[in-house]
Amino acid sequence: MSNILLEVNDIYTYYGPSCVIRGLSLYVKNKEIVALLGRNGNGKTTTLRSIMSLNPPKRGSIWFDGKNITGLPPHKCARLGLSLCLEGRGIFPGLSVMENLRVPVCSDNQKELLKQVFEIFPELESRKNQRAGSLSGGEQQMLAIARSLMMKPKLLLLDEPMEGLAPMICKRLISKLREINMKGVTILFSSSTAKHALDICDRVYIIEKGKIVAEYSKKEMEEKSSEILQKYLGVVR
Amino acid sequence: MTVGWELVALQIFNGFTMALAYTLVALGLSTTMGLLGIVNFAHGALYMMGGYFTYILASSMGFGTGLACATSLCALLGIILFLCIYKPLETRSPIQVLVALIGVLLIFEQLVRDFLGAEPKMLQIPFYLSGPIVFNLLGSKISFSKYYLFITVVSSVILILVYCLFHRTNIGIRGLASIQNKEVASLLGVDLTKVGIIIFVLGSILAGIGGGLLGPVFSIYPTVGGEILGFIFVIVIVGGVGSLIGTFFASLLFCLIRSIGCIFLSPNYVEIIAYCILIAIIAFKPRGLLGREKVLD
Amino acid sequence: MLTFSPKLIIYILIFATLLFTPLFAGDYLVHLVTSSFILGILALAYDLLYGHMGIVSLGHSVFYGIAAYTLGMLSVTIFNIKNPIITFVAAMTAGAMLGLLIGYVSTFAKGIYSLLITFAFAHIFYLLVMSNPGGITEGENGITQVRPPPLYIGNFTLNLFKGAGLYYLTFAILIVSCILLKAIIESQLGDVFRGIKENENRLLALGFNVRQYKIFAFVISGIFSGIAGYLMACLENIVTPEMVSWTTGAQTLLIVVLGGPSSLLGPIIGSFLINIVRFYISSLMGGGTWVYVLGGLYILTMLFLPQGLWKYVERVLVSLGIK
Repeated sequence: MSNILLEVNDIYTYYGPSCVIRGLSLYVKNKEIVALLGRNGNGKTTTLRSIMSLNPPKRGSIWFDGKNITGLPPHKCARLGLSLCLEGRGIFPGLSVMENLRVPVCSDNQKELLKQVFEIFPELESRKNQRAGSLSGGEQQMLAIARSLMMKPKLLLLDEPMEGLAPMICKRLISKLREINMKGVTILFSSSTAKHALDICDRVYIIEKGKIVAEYSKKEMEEKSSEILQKYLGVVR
Repeated sequence: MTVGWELVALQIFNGFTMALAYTLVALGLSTTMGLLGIVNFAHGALYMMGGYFTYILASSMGFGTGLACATSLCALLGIILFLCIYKPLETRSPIQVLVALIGVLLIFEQLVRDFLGAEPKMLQIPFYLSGPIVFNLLGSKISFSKYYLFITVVSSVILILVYCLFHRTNIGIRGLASIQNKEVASLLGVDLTKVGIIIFVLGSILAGIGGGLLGPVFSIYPTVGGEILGFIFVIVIVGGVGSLIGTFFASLLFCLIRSIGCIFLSPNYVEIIAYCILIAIIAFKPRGLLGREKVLD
Repeated sequence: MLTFSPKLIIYILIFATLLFTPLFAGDYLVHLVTSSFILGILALAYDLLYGHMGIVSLGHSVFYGIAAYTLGMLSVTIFNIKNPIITFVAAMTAGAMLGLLIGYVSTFAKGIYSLLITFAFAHIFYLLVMSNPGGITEGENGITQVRPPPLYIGNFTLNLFKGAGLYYLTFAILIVSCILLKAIIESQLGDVFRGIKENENRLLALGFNVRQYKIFAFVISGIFSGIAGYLMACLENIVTPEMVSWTTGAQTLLIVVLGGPSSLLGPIIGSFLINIVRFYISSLMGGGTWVYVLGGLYILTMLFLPQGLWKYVERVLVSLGIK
């Protein structure tokens, strides 16, 4: 079981008085790509935010790389190797691409990291002095992920990375995620459409009303993917 | 009344000088506001203390050294304020922080009144900086104030340094990032408390230097901080909170309006016009001159 | 049919005390309490926008101050109209029109930008008053000798604008303001205001013309602020530029936040507190000590009682079993 990188145990998270996550548990193994699927408003974003303590859970525990990180301040989680890319990308619009990439705190040599990141995202290198606010949606998403990579994360959390992107860009993004995963980064991402995403996942969780209601392995997905999508997301493939 | 172009040129230069000095103070407010989310009234207190510290120290150690030491004292004050007032109030709403900071300003004003007296102090310009410099431009003689030139040079140097700090160093970039989006910055490992202290201290330094530099120009009295705050606030919002360049242009706009307007109208009416322009700008282009700064709630 | 709850008894006691104060208190105290009543009216007017609608404005000094200047200009500097009914109505009208103006322009924007517009207006009017166009505002010194004469009704002379008469007049107007504010809050209009405070966009989506409601609130606030300004001019017999300055608006904000926004008694408590601190502490400990107390009060309250004094007083009362 030391293979498990992230373990979320029975967490309860609240927005003010209302309970949004009720008794949610999941785990992510080292080097996996796991998807958290669910319709909008069912708690995908809140789950990810709880893991990073932006919305710390009131009950339950979260373990990362053997350490209890429940409620640990976000910047400390980040420095442990957890990186969250929020929905809507959250890039710094007034800064250039290069400046965005220099923000993350990491003890490794920044120039080296930049080189590696530009290898995966060459399109960002050609735009490195451009103002981040003027990039297209797809480029901003690439920048957000590249920026997270600058922290050399062990686990990359992505909140709806495919949201609002054209199918072509989605395909490119997915192949980049595969590339990143091959380099040893574990990935957990959430999605409400998952049209192309299922291809790269090792496992899939389905979340409904703040709880995990189903879990499928890669084999099960290959056999029943359209069923799953229809039943839980109302999506016809 | 015919206005010689020499007068206009002089006023443009004066306006430009004032704009640079005001940009210093405004930047300090802009960055702290970006992080705090509300008008930092204590900024006015630091501006005033910059002036008073310079006044006190200049007589014993000379103007230049006095100014430098005064600025360091303001930085120290900034740290104390951050740890004693701002940090404990982190979870409060912006208006509540505002009220507390107004309390701080009131206390400082009264302290100064009680210990240093309420009459305005004239900060003496050292002899090597006083007097005019006469240029020959296009056949006419124009005399600029040496001290104003001094202000221009010092302000420009500091502004360039600040720009480099924010755009070339990692820590500066993280500061700018935190101002634009605190939450995302923390997700990237940025320690917001550390960044907060640095930005607050920087703001205090800028306020202090501004106060010291402008001391000889406006003289120093207890309410000088509160009075300048209004104008600075305007510059910050019009320039866009957290935008270095925007702040400079807004400062330039209003200082030039003031200095050139004063040729034709009395100062009060010029200010009235400036504020009317301000209202028009905000009503129709509320996101600041460059239209892309952070929007405060 | 009244239920005699302990809270009601406390209210009645306070009311009675205030009612009979002029009979046994000296001029100084009467002056102080009258001043507190007036600031209370201003604070309530302010709280309508701040506490109940979530609008922060620094423009109230304009309503307050210019209404006072209306009195000054009508009765002293421009004309010689002393009739208090005319000047009172004029002051109210000034307040209303300025409320309309500032409300209309500031609602082009939202949030801090709207605040900035109100601040700009306050500054503009302050500068206008200071520059003394045509001698009508007497500039820095303000308009002195402002003394509305008594009202003559039949055989009776009602000296409502000084001393005890002014005391009862302001007391009555304060009570009227409370009743009116309470009526507004508890009406459908109050629901809309609350909605604007909680979630403006929701109301917009539901088809409400939010802007119109805001402007309306500004006008009402303007009227009552104007009345407060008029009364203050009567009390102090002087109209100063200070009354128009944004610092007066800021002080009103402070009074409301300190006392407890979004309540009836909070702003009133705030006004009394400020006056007590200012007048008693300065006479007890001399000079500027009251500023330290006030500044300290702001800081400490925000640190420990951020919702304003009244909320905590209420909590204490409830825990003591008094509802």
